This record gives sequence, structure tokens and C-alpha cells, in this order.
Amino acid sequence: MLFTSFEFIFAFLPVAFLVFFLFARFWGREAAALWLAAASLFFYGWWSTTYIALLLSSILFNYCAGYLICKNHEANIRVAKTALYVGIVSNLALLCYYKYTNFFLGEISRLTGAHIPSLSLILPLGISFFTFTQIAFLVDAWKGKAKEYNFSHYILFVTWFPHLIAGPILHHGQMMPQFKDPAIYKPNSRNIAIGIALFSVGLGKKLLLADPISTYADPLFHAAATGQAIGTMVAWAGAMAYTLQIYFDFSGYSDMAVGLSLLFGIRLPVNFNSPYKAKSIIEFWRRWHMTLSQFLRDYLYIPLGGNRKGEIRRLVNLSLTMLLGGLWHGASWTFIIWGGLHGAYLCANHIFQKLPRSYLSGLIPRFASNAICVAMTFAAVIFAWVFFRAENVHSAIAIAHAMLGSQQSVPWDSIFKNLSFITYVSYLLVSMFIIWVLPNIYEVIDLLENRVVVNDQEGQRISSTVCVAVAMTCVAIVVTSLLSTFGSNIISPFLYFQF
Amino acid sequence: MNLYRKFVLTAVLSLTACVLAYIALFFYQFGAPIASGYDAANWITYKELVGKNTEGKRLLLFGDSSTVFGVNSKTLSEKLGVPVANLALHGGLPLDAITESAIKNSRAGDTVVLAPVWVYYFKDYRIPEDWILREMVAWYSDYFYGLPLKTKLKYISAVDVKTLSVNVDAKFRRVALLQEFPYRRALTAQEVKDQHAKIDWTVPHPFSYTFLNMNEYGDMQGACGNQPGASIASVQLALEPKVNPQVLKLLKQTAQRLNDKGVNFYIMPSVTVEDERSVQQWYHLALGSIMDQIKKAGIPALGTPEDFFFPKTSFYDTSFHINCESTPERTSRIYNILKDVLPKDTYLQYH
Repeated sequence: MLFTSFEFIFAFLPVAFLVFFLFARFWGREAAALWLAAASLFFYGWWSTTYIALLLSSILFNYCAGYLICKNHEANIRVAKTALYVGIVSNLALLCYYKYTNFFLGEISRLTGAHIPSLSLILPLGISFFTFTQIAFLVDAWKGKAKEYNFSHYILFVTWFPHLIAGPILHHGQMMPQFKDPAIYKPNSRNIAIGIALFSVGLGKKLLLADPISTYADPLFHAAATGQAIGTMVAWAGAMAYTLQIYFDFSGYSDMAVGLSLLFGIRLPVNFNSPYKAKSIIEFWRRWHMTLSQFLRDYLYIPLGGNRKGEIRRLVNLSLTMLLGGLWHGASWTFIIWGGLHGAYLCANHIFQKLPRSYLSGLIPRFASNAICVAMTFAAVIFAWVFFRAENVHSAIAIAHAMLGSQQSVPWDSIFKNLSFITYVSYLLVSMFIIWVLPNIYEVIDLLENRVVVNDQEGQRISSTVCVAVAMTCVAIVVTSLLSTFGSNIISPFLYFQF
Repeated sequence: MNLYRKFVLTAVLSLTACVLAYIALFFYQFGAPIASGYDAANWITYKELVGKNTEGKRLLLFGDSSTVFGVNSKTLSEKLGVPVANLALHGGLPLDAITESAIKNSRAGDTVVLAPVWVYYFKDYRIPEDWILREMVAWYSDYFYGLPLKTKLKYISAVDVKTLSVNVDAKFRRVALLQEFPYRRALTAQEVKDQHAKIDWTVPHPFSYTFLNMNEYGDMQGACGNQPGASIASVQLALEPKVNPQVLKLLKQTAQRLNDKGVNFYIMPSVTVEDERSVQQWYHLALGSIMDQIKKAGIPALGTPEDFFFPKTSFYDTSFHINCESTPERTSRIYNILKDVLPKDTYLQYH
């Protein structure tokens, strides 16, 4: 069930919401939490019931492993350590089996020339997210950070439908105390209002921006995959379109997830913080898919040694972390190269930071240098997205060549056919305005809630009017977004569902 | 009331208002005199009249235009000794519209034979297509009202906002538009009856794709020879075609509902063009597997796909329409299949 679908918005969500608070009111918190877990499993099973058993087995296994780690951490450290290693290896093995088996078999086959038939495996939805969430839980249990072991709450922690399919990646310590908190079992108008606002904005990002813009990205990558000639202008146009699509798609999904969760009073971590406003790649990774970045930092980069073993080792660790981060996205060389590129960007960024700045300072005004930094970071990110999106390395290289100007120019309609250039430019300008000029939704909420002080009666009247106007704007966004999908039978899932 | 509550209340009320307003507009558009296939409506009306006028325990033929063409119901009736009515409808209609028509127009003791073209078995009939959406707005709102809620929602979301506004505008200007385009409406049963009664069958008249070109049994007339430029070819099939589960479910339900009414129900293969593709063994196996899947689902089926293979020269204007020269042959093949399976009491009533 997609967050953007009618069955979700008009059936699943209202039922899940109302029954949750009714259960909490009449049958207690435990029943309400179990209801949410059941609703989340229903949500997961809507696509296919095939992997519900796998998901539940994974939950049971990790819960037992975590429990063993926690109970034996002081009394019998060997048992705890064994449980930790077995737990992590099993999770990685499960992920590798479903996600990477055919990739490795294909590579072995390619290198040795032997014919190894591929396995017919369908990637279970959300496996990358629920295995990472549970690996983090096991490590947290080992570190003594995961203290609560209520099984129904644990099921809810893993299956909680707003994050189950495409994150954000959660920590046990963030979620379990919330499930214990009696406050979440009572409807709270603030949570519901902010939840509605976030959901509306996320829906708008997905349906009004990401999906229409994607029509300009797909033809470029399809043309590259089929060996058509690509010129510099169309290559940049298509790559730019994908850059905007993936941002509005994934950040839209994340806003919706955070908003949906908040409707039930459960806070999820923010996953995006205007990443394309970043002035460097280091900053970009602090703003893009923040929960994955934090996961990779805490559970990979730091255990590898982080920056504690000298500068060279730091750069090696960074590159390795980004390569594995790329591989996490999918079993393909394109993802590995994308991770490698970002690793290289980060290394360059760190090296650059070590350089003395005196000879540049004062030459360029601050606002101009900021703009140049943002533009350079953005260009580097666009270039890397080409590898992320391309169907294979060959087509990614063809697009990259074209972007670097080493291909002859081709007319717009040779790639984009009857797609209007004017419409493209309009989408581009609107998107750029939203990305670079407007504050993000969290900043807007913060502004409205905390930074505007209202004291007198006139001020309260204005607040009330603004409140009604914002609510109506949110509804207008929802309605316009849904109406934009009318008349087409195309179902456009979120990009991160494939990971 | 605090600001958050005011926000939630405003959002809920405005969303409800928008949803209700949209639904109201959606229903308002029904009956808009837009450019559409009104003759498909007249077909339905005419076929219902044919059904009503056919007495006794009847053999009713249902399907799409591939059954409207290339059948001589009079001959079939005489050879089988039972009253026959050809109640097949326009090929743009979804399968459930055809099966509903079969249920509506049959009565206890009848035998219903349904012979849709192969493509009907693969399509999810619940997914709205442009043609039926237009007809639904123009004259076929009854079909929409009869749909289950989930399919209704699909239909609602299948009409884009621009089209809806055009339809609403047309409905608003209904009187003026009908003055300008008087044929943008479905005829009443009496009008259909009157217009059909005026036809002089003793004089030859050019072929037309309307109910006025159908005889009193419901068979299409005058489709003789091959239309120049018509591309006639066998339907493209997958190596191992899979009948859509929703289609199987619908056919099973139809068989059950008809049996409950005391009606015998059979599926029969439709016509196939004999060409380079269809003569290959894999193609025969593929068609056979479609019939096997139907039988396996417990739906009674008669005949084999090969019974209805015809050369290209037997087709009139499309790969589904048998011409008048080959109509006797197809009728004879239908007779050969049905002669042994019609219920004895039906069979004997004419003897």
C-alpha cells in the first residue's frame, strides 16, 4: 500500500488511527500497541504476504539475540558476544542472500567464464531497512543502550508502518521509550496538526514535483541504455531532472513517514534537512538521508577506526564506508561507483579543509563564495546521481561523457520527444525556488511555533487566521496532489522502495 | 479552542468538503451530451428487445462483436430446433458488462453461450479504459452504479480533472448541445423499435455498424467480402498465456449465478485468423491452455480453439469479424458443437 494511494489515505489510515485510540481508551495501551503492530503487518502484507513469515522470523530471531546479549552482558560475556556476532552475521547473511547472491554469481560467472545460473529471488520489501534497524538494535544491546524488552513493543518498533519500507532507520533507544509513554495513547491536537502538515507537504513533493519531473529523467537514462547519442545539454537536463526527482521523492516519503507517525504521537527522526543547500559534500551527508548517514557513521565508520588512527586511515575508512553505503543501495556496480564517487568527494573535501585559506580569504565576498560552494556541491552530487540511476555502468559513462562535453550535441526532441522544454524549465525554476529559497517544512513549523510571539488580542486573531489558512493550504496540496494522479493508471512507487 | 485543534478541524472539514464537492461533480457529469458511441447503447436496447421477443427456452449467444458478426441465428435455430437470439454486444464493453447482460436477459431453461475474443481473457476488466469512461459519462451510468465500491473508486480516479470539467460543462449546456448535436443521446426502447421496424430488408443497403444493420435475431448483416485495407492477423499471445485470475473469478461467479437461475452456461472459443503465427504448434498449445485454465476453474466450456480457425479471406474488416460468405461455415461449426449438449427438453421443444 503506497502512502499516496486512496486505499491508504481514505481507508487504512483513518481505520488504523481511530481504532488505535479507541483500543487505548477502552482496552488499554498494550492492546493499542498490538493493534498498531497488526496494522503495520497488514500494511506490509498488502503487497505480498510471501515475506511476512520472513519478517516475523527475523523479528523473533533478533529479539532473542538482543535479549541474550542484554541478560548475559555482565554475567556471561562470552554468550553475549556470541549472540552479538551470530545476530549480526545472520542479518547480513539474510540481506546478502536476497540482495547480493545473483550479483556475486553473475560476477563469478563473468570472471571465470563458467555458466552459473542465477537464482530466482525476489527482494523482500524493506529488507535493507529492517535488517539495518535490527543490527543497530543488537549493537545497542551490546553497548547497554537497549534496555527495554517488551516483545509487542519490539514488534511495533521494527514493523511500525511509516518507516518499515523505506526508513528512516530507527534506534531501539529512540522508539521503545515512546511506546511506554502513556501520552502517545491519547490523541494530541498538536501532534495531529503537525502530522497533517508534514504528510501534506510530503505528498505534494512526491505527486506534484517528483513524479512529473521523472518524465524528464527516464528518457535520458533509457536513451543511454539503448545506445542512443546524447548531447551535453540533454545529459545535464536529464541528470538534473533525476537529481530533483530523487530528492522530492525520498524527502517527500520521509516527510510523510514522520508526519504519519506523529499522527499517532510517535516521533521519528528527521531524515532530510535541505541537502541541496549544503555548501560542501561533508555538509551534504549531514543533511541527506540523515539516519543512514548516522548509521554508517556509528556502526561502520567509527568501528573501522574513524578518524582516530591518523589522516590516511581516516580517508580509507571514509572511502570504505561510502563504498559499502553504495552497495547497501543495491547489488550493482553503478551503486558501488556512486558510493566510491562520494567517498572520493568526501576525501577531497577533508583534504581541502586542511589547506591554508589565507590566500583566498577576502577575494570573494562571503555570499558569492557560499553560492559557489553550493553550486559546486550540487554539480558534484548531480554527476554522482548519474551512476546511481543508470541501468548499467556503460550507460552511466555515456551520460557522464556527454555531461563533460565530449559528445556531439543532439536536439532536445531526439531524447525527450514531445516533452515540452518550457514545462521542463518551469519545473526546474519552481524546484530550485523551493530548494534554495524556501525554508524546509521543519523550519517553517519551528518558525510558526517558536519564533513568532503573540501577545495581544489582535495578534491572536492573526494567528488564528494564519492557522486556518495553513490548514486550508495543506488540504489544497493534498487535493491537488491526488487530483494530479487522476486519469492515469500509472502507479509510481517511491524510489527507495527498491532498496 | 487552541490553534492546533482549529487547524485539525479546518483540515478535516475542508478535506471533507473537497471530497464531497468532487463526488457531486463526478455524478453530475453523467448524461453529458459528449461525443461518444451512442450506438453501443442502442445495441444494448435492441438486443434486449430481441431477447424479450424470443419465446421459449432459448439459446442465447453472448460475447463481443465477434459473435455479432458471422452467425446465422435463424439457421442455427432451425437446425437445433430451439429459439436462438444473438445478444452479443459491442466489443468495447468490459467483460463484466457482458456477463451482467447475460444474467439479466436469461431465464430458467435458457442456455447461454459466451464466446469472447481471446484478449478478454488476459485483461483485468476492472481497469477502466478511455472508451468505456466516455460511454459511462454519456449514457452508461448504470454500469458505474452497478460496480463494487473498489472498482467505482478506480473509475472515479480514472477521469482526469480536465475531462471532468469538459463533461460538467457539457452537462451544464445539455439543452443547447443537444440542439446542435441531436444524436448525442441514447434512443429509448420505443425509438429503437420504431427505427428498426422501418427498415426495408427487401432492398440492399450499405453496411453500417449499427443496430439498424442487425436482423431480428440480433445478427449483423451485409458484412460481405473483405474490406480493403483491413489488417487481419491472429491475436498476439504469450508462449504460456495466463488467464487473468479476475476473469476466471468473474466467469465462475457468472456460471454459478446463471445455474442458480436455472440457466445452462458454456464458454465457447471465439474466432481465430489462420495465418503464419496461428498455424504454429506453440500457438495451438497456447490457445488450448487458455481453454484448459477455464475448464480447470470449473467453468463449463465447449469446443476447441481449432473449431473456429478461419482463413484471412473469411474476415470482413477486423480480425474478429467473420464475413457473410463464411457465416454459414461458422454457424455450422457452432451447430456441430451444440447439437449434443443442449438440454433435451430445450432440444425437443421445437420437435
